[in-house]
Amino acid sequence: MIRPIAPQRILNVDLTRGETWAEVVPQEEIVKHLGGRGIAAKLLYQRVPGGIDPLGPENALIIGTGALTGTNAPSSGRTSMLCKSPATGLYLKVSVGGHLGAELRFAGWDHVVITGRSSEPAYLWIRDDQVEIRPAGPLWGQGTRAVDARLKEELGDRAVQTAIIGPAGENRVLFSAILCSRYNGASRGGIGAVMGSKNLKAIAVRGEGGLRVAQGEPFYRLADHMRHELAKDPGTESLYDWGTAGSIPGLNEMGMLAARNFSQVTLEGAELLSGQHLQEHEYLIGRESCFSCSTACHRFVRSLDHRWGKVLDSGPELETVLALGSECGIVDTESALVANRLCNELGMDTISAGHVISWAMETFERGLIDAVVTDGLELRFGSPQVVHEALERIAYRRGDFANLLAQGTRRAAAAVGQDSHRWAIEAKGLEQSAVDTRMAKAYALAFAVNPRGPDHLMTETFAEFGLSKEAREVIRKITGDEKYADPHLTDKRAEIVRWHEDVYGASEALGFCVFTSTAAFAVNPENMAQLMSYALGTPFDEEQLMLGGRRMVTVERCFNVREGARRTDDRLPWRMMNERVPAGPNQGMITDQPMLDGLLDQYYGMHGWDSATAIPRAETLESLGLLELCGDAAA
Amino acid sequence: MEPASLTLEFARCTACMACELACSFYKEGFFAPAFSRIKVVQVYELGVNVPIVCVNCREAPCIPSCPSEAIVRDGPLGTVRIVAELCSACGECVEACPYGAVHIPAGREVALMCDLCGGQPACVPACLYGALSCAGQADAAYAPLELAPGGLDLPEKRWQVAGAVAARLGEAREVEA
Repeated sequence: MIRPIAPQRILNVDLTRGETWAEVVPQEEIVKHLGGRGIAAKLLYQRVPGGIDPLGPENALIIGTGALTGTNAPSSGRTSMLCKSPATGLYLKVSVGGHLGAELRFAGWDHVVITGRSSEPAYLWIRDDQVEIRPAGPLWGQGTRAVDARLKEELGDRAVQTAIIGPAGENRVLFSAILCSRYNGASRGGIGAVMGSKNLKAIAVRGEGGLRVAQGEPFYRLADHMRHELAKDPGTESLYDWGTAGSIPGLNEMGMLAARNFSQVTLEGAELLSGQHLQEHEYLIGRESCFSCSTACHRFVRSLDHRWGKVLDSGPELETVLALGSECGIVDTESALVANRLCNELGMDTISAGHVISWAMETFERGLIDAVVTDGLELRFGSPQVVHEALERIAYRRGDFANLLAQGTRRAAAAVGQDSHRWAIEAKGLEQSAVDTRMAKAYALAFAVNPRGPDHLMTETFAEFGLSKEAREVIRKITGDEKYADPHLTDKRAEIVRWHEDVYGASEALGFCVFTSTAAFAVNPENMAQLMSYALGTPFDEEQLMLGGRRMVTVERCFNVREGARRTDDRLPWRMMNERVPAGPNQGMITDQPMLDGLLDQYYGMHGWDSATAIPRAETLESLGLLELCGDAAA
Repeated sequence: MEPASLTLEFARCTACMACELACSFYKEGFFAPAFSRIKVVQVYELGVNVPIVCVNCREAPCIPSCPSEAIVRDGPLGTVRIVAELCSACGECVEACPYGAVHIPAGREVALMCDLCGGQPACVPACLYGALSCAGQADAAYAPLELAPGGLDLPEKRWQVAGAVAARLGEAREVEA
């Protein structure tokens, strides 16, 4: 089937009843909520009532493909996956690359809403309009790579795209992931556990249809121009050459490298974890793109001396080598490759897995727990083998201590007690990504108000560092003056965060990778809106695009309000608010509670949310056309 | 004269599928890899991506396989093409092509094969990674490979061709290491 960009189609799957049915999203909804994360957030709000058990059948697992995914728009292949998070009990959106979203669209589906629980292990097979819920008995218990291979064999087509949980998701580890297109993790907030709770082992997709944009020639030409502009960006070149871990040397030099559970900001030998090291020493043997990407930041790597095991697999991202490397005090390239492969195979979020282990290491070294408590694990910083062993035990919940770590840092710290929450690098129940927020104030604010917890993957305010001419121009556009491109300032941070939230949301709704719109800037609100206009065949401008982003952020906030989240939940990990940067160029810096309070006042005021509670006001919802959808959450 | 062909630098392909999008857009007016004349096969196990496309064999087995004489080598570049008006979509050429470079998409009554867009292939400028150029000669890309045996279905044939290329690249890497 060759379809237009709008209307869109939802595939509904009720695993309890074993039923599937189609539903249409009309064009006016796409103009309002954009697609991808936007439509999915609305569906989540409507279909998951407040207060339900995230691991119960009432939770929904929603897949939202970008409105432009499947076209030649640059790096437009990203897909949003949503549910209520079992880690935080709040809104969860995870973004994943690879080829799954494009394949879904070619199969004729823009969104998939999965509810209920299958009585037996099952997988979902989507082949164009034919959708089947199939038994997955023999696949249960297996790692993600083996399941991917077996599904492709069983279905007789290696071009099938898959989304698979590993043992960690089956065992409902609260930071388990869904591995998509083999290399790509939809990882944060325990989304894999939600899939596991539904007894759903995998989703397999093959599509032989296509998409027709309304104004083909201008669309193709503009997208092609954007692709070439993007490819020229120095940041894009660095991502191609070295991947995301190419920033390790710079972070180390600037004193912004999270190390030893955020107790240090530099680490000797960290360059062994860098993308440059992978390339120079020929660990790197290939580069991989997501669908329609002009950057190719993914790595394909091999081990060389096989010290910790043989690896021939996708390579680790920056956050992975930080969380499972420097944060655990380990500067060992081979160990990083093995730890990354283990997490992918077992289906676990590398950020949270690394941080729950680094928290346990600090707790062990401070003497709050010993080897009797840890079932024999000598949890000292700098021990690769202990990390690898801990990852396996956590995924299978082997032993009481690993079972505790499988609940995430917040619950583990609550169980150990004493002062261990002070070095639990989490807020809202989600482990912070390895980004130091003490010296960058817009980052600190963005992390605190992030609906899923403190990380850089709902909003990233990279421009506040003013590292390029384009970044400084973005800051001038937002604030009227380039001088605000300074991460140490608290002025104008709410404006900067809100603009980035809108752009980030809109990017994800359209399917764009945020590297193209908030790190490089070749994809910007103006040309995104122009592409939407050509795609839909109707006028569509930058203001409408940004408004779509704003609606998304507001619906997400309302979801959390309905779950009981208030201003006090918009916080940062204790260490980030109470311990100053210990060394380096940013020594002494901190974003403490009074400073954060000032930033939050600015931010809620700008949004039209009640300052004391952080609940959106009814008139704010009305002005966004959200009163009908989210009125029950209004202040 | 040597027939022209796309030149394929397998090691540079990242599987972004821009070539498939360019091909389907220019040939059909919409975005649909299933209608692309070039198909990238991802060999995940080895981290190698292999574009499968007509390489204009010197001895092209598709030409004699066609009962309708719809496949001709008549261009100035010495390339092979399918005359759509004569094609009955019988599938003989799909089976005859040793590389899986010819296919009949669902819902279409004609076989599809790369014709180099008359000398200016749309996929070449779309590839930002330098995996495609049009300076090459026939047979170059897959020539050293054992031909996949006949009777395989198309996905399996493409997989075997890609797997052989990937294994060759993999071996080269082993030697380097």
